[in-house]
Amino acid sequence: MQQKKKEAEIFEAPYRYIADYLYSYGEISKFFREVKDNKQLYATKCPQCGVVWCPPRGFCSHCYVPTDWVPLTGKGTVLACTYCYFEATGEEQLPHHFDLPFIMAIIKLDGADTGFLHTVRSKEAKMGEIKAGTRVKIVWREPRLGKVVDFYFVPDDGK
Amino acid sequence: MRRVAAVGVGQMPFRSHWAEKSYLAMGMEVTKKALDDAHLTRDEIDAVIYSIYCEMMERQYRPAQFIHDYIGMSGKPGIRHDAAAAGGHYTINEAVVMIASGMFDVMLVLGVQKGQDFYSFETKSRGDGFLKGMYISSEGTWVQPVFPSLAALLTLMTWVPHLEKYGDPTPLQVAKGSAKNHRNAIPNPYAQLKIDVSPEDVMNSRIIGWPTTMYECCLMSDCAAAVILASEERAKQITDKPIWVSGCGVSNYPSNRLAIDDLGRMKGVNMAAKAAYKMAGITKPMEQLDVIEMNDIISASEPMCYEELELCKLGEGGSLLDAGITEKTGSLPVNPSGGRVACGHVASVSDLMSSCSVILQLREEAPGIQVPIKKGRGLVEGIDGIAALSAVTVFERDR
Ligand SMILES: [Zn+2]
Repeated sequence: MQQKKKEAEIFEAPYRYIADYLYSYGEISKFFREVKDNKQLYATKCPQCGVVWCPPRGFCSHCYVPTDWVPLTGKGTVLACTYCYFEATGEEQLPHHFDLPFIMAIIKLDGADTGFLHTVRSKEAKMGEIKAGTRVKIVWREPRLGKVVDFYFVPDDGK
Repeated sequence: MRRVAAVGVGQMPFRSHWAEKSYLAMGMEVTKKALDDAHLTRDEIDAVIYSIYCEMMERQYRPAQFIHDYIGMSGKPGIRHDAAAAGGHYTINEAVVMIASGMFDVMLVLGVQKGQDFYSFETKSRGDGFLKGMYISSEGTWVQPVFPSLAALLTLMTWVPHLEKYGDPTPLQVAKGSAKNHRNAIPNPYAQLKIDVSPEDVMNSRIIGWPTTMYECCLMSDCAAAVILASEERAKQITDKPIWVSGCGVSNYPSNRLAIDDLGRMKGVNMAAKAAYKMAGITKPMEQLDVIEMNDIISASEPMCYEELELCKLGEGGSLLDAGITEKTGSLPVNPSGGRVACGHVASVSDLMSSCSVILQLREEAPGIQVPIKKGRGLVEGIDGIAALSAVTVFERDR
């Protein structure tokens, strides 16, 4: 009873915090300019150790030297994936809503040495059909905003 | 280096929402409990270190300074650390260093997080508000825009490739682990969820990120927890049951698993364990430990971390669950508190709760959840939501 009374006395008020950004991509600006304007994926290659970074890094984390831009084909291989039946992303961040379930994958893009986190879409594929080893290719969205959601991946049918 | 012991703990129950207490009052409640447990006054605390990772949860940047004032510690050093769901370990680790160095004699480690004041006006749900409010913890350019929930991300980076590479843990083994922890939480006075679920119930619950199901995901809670640490000289004056911090290890790992070879592993946990074992003189953890509390942020991470903690070989973690070894009645109980899936979880606090829990186990004063203590050693493992920050702390009593 005491507990009930206490709870009845609680007062709650709404608050909302919003921070707006015009965010500079700095040394990796070229990646998003090429995505937005030219539908072209780029990676960065270290001139010293040869590692190809995608997501790109303007400086190699092993060697601390500036990297060189290299174009990628937009094709790759799924290393691991999960079928998501629940979406937690803040909707303002997402210009394009996901249909549930959607597939989150770690993709090794052809020509890159690192894993790339992204979504794979397929209306036809049943759960489990897209898995480690599945070949995928990039699909570009319209309009593009200069964000990683300007593209996604679908199974590569070889065409 | 001076030896350091835990001399007091303060806990409060995990709840889906502590509406009747502000984060300030929650901080005071567990501070008071820890001081009472140690029979100390606040004047005897030299400095406070705060485990608070997410400012958004307190609706406030720099919340530590307001708690510091509220609990009457003004004028003393107050240090705040953020290491997500491993924050309690990082703060204990740092307090140990500060006391061992001789800088301070008695320190309060305090974690407070109140995620359930978040609210989604769109869906009228605190849970949705929480997920939306804290997802900016993930990397901003590459991960946030495609963020699928921590459970799905951790499943993707660890369980799915682990299953592929090492053949375990199977969905049934993981479900057994979840059922174990749910069962363990029932007699725990601090636990949030007290339901008996079978492995079948777990496997048949809603899929969050395949193969992880709803009952295999951590809860979302409000909570606070505190530990008081002291130098050897002070600890022996304060208590008859000092619980020594005999090993600490932390490891920061890339949060986006760029390195392909690391997929399916939680190598940071292994590195942290190796460092803590070396410091504590542990060579055969399976034989030298009485109890483990760890972060089952998804249930699959528990058996995978059995492997990273070198309780068994890679690929054998699931079989420990099959054999019942980590049950409360087994030879090495893991998560007798009920773990994150049933006792409760809020980053920066639940790993301090784990430490409180193991400290009380070693004192043989853990109400409802006590396991037999024969070797006098317990271990706490912590990871953040994607196993990028990892920490292991070893506690032991006088033998
Ligand atoms: Zn390099």
